[in-house]
Amino acid sequence: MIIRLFRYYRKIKKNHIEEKQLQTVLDYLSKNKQLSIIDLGFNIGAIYNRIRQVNKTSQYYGFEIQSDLVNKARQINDEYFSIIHGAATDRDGHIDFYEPKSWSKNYKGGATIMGGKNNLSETPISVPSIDLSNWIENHSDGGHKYFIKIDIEGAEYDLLENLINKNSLKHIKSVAIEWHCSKLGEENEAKFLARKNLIKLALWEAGVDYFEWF
Amino acid sequence: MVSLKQTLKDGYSLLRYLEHMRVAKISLSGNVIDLCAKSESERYFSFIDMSGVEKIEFCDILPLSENVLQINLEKPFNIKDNSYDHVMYFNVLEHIYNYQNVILESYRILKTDGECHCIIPFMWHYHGDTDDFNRFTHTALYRKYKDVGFENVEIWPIGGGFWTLIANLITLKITVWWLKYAIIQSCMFLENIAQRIYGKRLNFALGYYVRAVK
Repeated sequence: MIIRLFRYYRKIKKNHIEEKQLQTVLDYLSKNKQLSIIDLGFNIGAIYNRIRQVNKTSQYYGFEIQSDLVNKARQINDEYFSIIHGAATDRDGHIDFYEPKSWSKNYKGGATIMGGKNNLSETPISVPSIDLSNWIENHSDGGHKYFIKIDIEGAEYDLLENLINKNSLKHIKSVAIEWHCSKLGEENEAKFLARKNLIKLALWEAGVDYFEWF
Repeated sequence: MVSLKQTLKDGYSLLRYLEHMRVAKISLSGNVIDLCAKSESERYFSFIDMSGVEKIEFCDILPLSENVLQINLEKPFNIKDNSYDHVMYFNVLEHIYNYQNVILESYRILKTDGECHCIIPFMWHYHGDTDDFNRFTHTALYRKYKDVGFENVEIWPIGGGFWTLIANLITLKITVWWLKYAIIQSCMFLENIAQRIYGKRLNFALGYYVRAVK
C-alpha cells in the first residue's frame, strides 16, 4: 500500500515535470515560427495538436513507422502538414522494426527499430528507412532551419551521430530529445550514456538549442 | 555456487560476493591469460566455467613457474600479437598508474573476436596494494575500451543501489560474520523496496565488470 502511494506520487510528479518540459518547448516554438518542424515518432499526433495551438503555420513533417497510425495522420486537414511513412535513420533503404509485447499508456507507443530494447516482440516488420541527413539536405533549399522532436525509442543515437558526422547540424536550429539509455539492456547503459553525452557536446558546440524530452 | 554466508565466513566483503556472482556468469575457452593471478588458486576460478579452456597462463613480475609469464603491467608486455582468446584482470586496473597500457596491451594480445574481462571497484575505499590510483565511471570505462579499438564493450554494474552501498560500508567495519550477514540482508530488503518505488537505479555501483570484444 505504501509502495503504491509512493509510486502514485512519483507518477504525478513525473507528469508535472513532463508538462513543464513540453510547455518550455511550446513557448520556444511560439517565438520561433519561422522554423520547420520534424516530428520523429508522430504516433497519434498528440504533440502535433499541442504545437498547432501555438504555431499554426510552420511546415510540419511527421515521421511514423506504423502504417495504421500513418493512415490516421493522412486524414489531418492541414496544408502545412505532411506525414512520412518510414523510420528516420542513418541509411536509406528498408529496415525492420518491432512492436512492444504490450502497448504503453501512449497509444501504440514503443515500437522501435532497436531490436535489443526490453519487452519487444520477436516478429520484425519491414518499413522504409530514410537517411534523415539526406532528407534534410534535400528539403533545405532557401536556407530555412528545423526544430526536430526525437522520440524514437533508442534509435536516436545512430541518427544523431549521423547528422553530426554528415555536417547536417547547420540546418538544425533546435532539438528536443527523449533518451533511452537505460532501456537497451543493463550492460549497454554505459555505452548509450557515453554516446548521449558526446552527442550533447556536439550539439552545444554547433549552437543547436537543446531540450530534454520525455 | 556462490554463497553470501560462506563468503562472509571466509572474511570477504559484500563487494567480493557480488563480484563472484558476476564472475559465475563468465565462460572461458581456448587460450586464456590472467593478468592478476599467479595460479588457479585464486578463489574466483572456482566460480568460472573453465570447461572450454585449452591453456591458461598467469603473470607476475618475478615468476616462479613455467606457466607464469614475467609481465610488468605498467610497460608493454613481452607477448606476441593475437595470442589469446580471453584476457582477464580482476581488481587490478585501479592499482596500475599507467592503466592505458593494460587496456591497450590486452587489446593487442587478444585474437580477433577474443574477449577481455575486467573487474574494477568504483565506490570503494583507498587500498594500497601496492598503491591505488584509479576509479572510473561506467561511461569512462566504455570510452577507454572503445578508444583502443574494442568492437563491443558491455559494462555491468556490480551492486549499484544506495542500500547496497550502505551495507557494504557498514560491514567493512564489522568482523563478526553473522552480524554482517544480518545487516546485509536488512539493507537488501530496503534496496528491494527502494527499487520497487524508484525503479532499478545503479548510480552507486561498488564496482564494474567490463566485457570487451576485439
